[in-house]
Amino acid sequence: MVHLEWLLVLGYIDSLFAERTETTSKPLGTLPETLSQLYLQAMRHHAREAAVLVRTDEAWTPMPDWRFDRQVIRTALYLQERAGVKPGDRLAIVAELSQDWLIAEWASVCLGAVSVAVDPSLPASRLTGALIEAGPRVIFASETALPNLDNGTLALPGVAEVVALAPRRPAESVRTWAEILELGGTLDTAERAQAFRAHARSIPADHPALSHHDATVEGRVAWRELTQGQAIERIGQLWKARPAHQGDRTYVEASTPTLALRLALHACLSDGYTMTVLGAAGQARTALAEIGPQRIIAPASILEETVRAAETQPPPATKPEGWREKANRALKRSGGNPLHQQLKDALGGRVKVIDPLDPLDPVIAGRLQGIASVGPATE
Amino acid sequence: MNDLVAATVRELAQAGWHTVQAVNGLVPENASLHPGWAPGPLLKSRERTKPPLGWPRETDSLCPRCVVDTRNSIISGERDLADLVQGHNGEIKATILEENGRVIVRKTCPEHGTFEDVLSIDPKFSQVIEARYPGRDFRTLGDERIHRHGTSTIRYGRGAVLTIDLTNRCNMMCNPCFMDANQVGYVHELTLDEIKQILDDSISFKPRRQMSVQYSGGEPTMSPHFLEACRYAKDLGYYSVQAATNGLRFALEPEFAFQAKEAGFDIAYFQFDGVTNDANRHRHISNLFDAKLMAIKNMRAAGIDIVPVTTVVNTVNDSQVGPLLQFIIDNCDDLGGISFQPVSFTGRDEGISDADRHRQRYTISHLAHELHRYFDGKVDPYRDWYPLGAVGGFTTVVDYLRGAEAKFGGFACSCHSNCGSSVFIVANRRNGTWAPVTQFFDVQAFLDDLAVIADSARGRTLSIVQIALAMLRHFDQRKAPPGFTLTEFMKILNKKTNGALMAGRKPPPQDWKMLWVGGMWFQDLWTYDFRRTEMCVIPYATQEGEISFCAYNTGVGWRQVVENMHMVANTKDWFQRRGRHKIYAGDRPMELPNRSLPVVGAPEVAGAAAHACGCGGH
Repeated sequence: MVHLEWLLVLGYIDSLFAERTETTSKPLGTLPETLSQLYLQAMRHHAREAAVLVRTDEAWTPMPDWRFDRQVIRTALYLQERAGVKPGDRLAIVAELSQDWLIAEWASVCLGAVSVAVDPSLPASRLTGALIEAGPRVIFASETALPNLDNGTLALPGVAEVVALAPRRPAESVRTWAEILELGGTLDTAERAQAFRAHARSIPADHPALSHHDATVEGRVAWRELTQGQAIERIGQLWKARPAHQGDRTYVEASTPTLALRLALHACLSDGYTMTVLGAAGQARTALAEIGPQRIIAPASILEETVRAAETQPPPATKPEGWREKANRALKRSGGNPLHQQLKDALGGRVKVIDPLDPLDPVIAGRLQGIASVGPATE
Repeated sequence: MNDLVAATVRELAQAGWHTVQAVNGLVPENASLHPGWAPGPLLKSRERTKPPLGWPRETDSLCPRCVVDTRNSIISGERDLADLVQGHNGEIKATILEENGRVIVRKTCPEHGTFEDVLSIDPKFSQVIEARYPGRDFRTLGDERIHRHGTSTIRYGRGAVLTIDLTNRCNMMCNPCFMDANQVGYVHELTLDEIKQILDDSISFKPRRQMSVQYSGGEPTMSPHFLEACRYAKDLGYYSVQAATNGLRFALEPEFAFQAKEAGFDIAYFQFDGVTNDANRHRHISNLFDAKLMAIKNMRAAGIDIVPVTTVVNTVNDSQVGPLLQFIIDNCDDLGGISFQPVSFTGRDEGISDADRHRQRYTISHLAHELHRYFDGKVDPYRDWYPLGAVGGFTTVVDYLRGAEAKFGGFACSCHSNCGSSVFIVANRRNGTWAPVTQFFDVQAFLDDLAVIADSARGRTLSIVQIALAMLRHFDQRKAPPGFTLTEFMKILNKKTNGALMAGRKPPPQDWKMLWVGGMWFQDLWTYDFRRTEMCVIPYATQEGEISFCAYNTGVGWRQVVENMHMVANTKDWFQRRGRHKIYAGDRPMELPNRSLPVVGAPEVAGAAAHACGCGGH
């Protein structure tokens, strides 16, 4: 009887007695034939609060699947209708890992274009060389990469457009990310969105999808490329090695997304359960303490720092309920962000380290017993 | 529960009620609560004011010709907007009177002559509705920045539905269309920042209102900010998010329905004119009914509630009223009721000839009598219909029970009794049995009891006991449809309250469902009454503040003024810069998807309810 007053809020306005339906959902967990089909499946069937979680100045900000998908569609529609991108074209992403990076990659993949990741920290000459060799139609460039591209005005053969993944445009000819989304937003009608999905479904498995410019090979440009089908095969291995569960959170941090990292990332995004937490350089300790992920995807060098920090920090006295609230409360506190026991638990056997080219400190490696490197599966 | 037990419970409740009131009458009323959200103490029933009702009566109205001239001169820049705010442009007196068995409005402009139109074809019906009106809500306070529209300013109430036009673009080309979508030559489309500002502003004054936000247009789902706008409204704490939609987007793109639900979209206020393709012919899509069915299927799969909305035009689709209600009853699993909207001759219909207007005029009284005729007297015009404002009785009690610390006032639809009326019915989803609630539940007596409870302002526990007694004593199971018992009634209420009556337990699927059948009659230049405008509860929230629905769409025509002030491009430039959108028209069929799920190669998920956020309560 305590809640009897709610009786009286009989929904005259609340659609006047329309029934409230609670939907429950489970991701499909099945592997389709292509990467783009996997994306569509994940956006249609998922059970998580958000696809991606990023930290802004104020708080951890979730990007739910609906928003992520709409931005992918809008980016793709812009690329297709304004930049003239066609299947088989190459799109270069010269940027650090961010949610914009992810959206650009999925938009490229679903258009049937080849997403080419290039290290944004490359010196100008090597960057230009890599881009000439990649032959992209559109370049997405981060704020740090733009100066090396003459603020986006670098004349490269075949490049139709440069998009700044930055709030301001460095030159008149460069589109900003916000502009892309705005213009793509008007193009985002039911008919075009469904045509986009139909197109994404029809891309064959042998179509190239992901390409990576490996900057670590001294003296020459090394390219590694995966077709849609090959990418799916590797994602399937990752799913099998480490099945996802409701509420999983994966922390990802990398200055340059390698091919292996990209596959691990897409495996998380497309499993329908995992919320991918994008970390920023130098904030791993804080972020890990606040989020308490079940998995970490990062180059070993970053992980080493994290493990050392975990050993020097005492666990917190109390463990507050609700990870989001806890994380945001911790963020508001001034001073240090103590790592808690959850991180040590994670490092005790549930962490996956990728990027085998980045060797682990033997001491750290010994401590991370039971870690399954995903590197071999992706090479 | 058998009839004997139910009757015993009823008699015990009667005795209990009278016992409590015997004591209640001896103790002086407590002072009214003054919640933080309200501009003053909660109103007791005797403190509520009423607009002039009955007839003959005089009111302020508009000359349908002068007002158009005024509007055009403001839009063209010949006159200043201040003239509209400070002046009395086109205003004339009107008389509402009974003549030849009808209630009519008659007004004479010195320049343009006499205008006359029908308000009701049944004076007795209108009298009953007006008699059931409980009175106005609070006068608004601190709203000078939001309500600043001269004689069209909203002065009373806390509102029920906040309407926001996201865009004037539309993917259909209907007739009627009160906003003349696609035809005005410019695009008026809110940015996300503007939408956020509007939503912030609407809770910036007292009474701080717990409203439903209704995105409208044009077709609101064509706005690129529709999903984000749903989310922002939910984040701010608005109770529900609706959209007045033609549903085409949901029919064409099932994923959009799921995404909208995830973003916070609750209710589709769904354009629905008839139960055959032929009955929708005036919308100029030859297979529109098929598209509507597909939209319903997709929205329900996503968990979106649907309230069909039918614009009723006499001699055009008035014959669909009965079949439509039958369709709602037959599909009560998916539909929560229906809103009939008698035509308002505005927008592209403002130039209608007098002959056509008289022929096509439809009123709430037409609706009440048509349902009475179609269902062989099962829906009684005089017993079953209540003004929308009757819900105010519920709201007052809710406000008391929520206490002084409540952040928002409860829902209060305190609009003028001439603005709309409704009937509640219960329907059995298995065998189609149905009956109006007023057949077995004495609503008027229950509302009177609620007024007593609210006026006496006793403690929370005592109030709750009184409410329970009032409910029990007015339910007569013998008059209920076969199989509908007090237990079933409580189950329905429990379902509506999300299990509150059963200590949070989710109720099992029920056979019975409650449906709302409403009539919302918006004004046009011939029926305009400023007493209605100032009590509007479904304001349009715009860049120029909140404006009465009727003052915005008709009246002095704030829509044209606001849209011209804030247009973002002319249509030609927009199409060049942004691309064209598809418009379904020309009496051709639209291509409908024939797949139920868009993912090729993926097995169907058991049941239709996939895709929701299953975050477990975060």
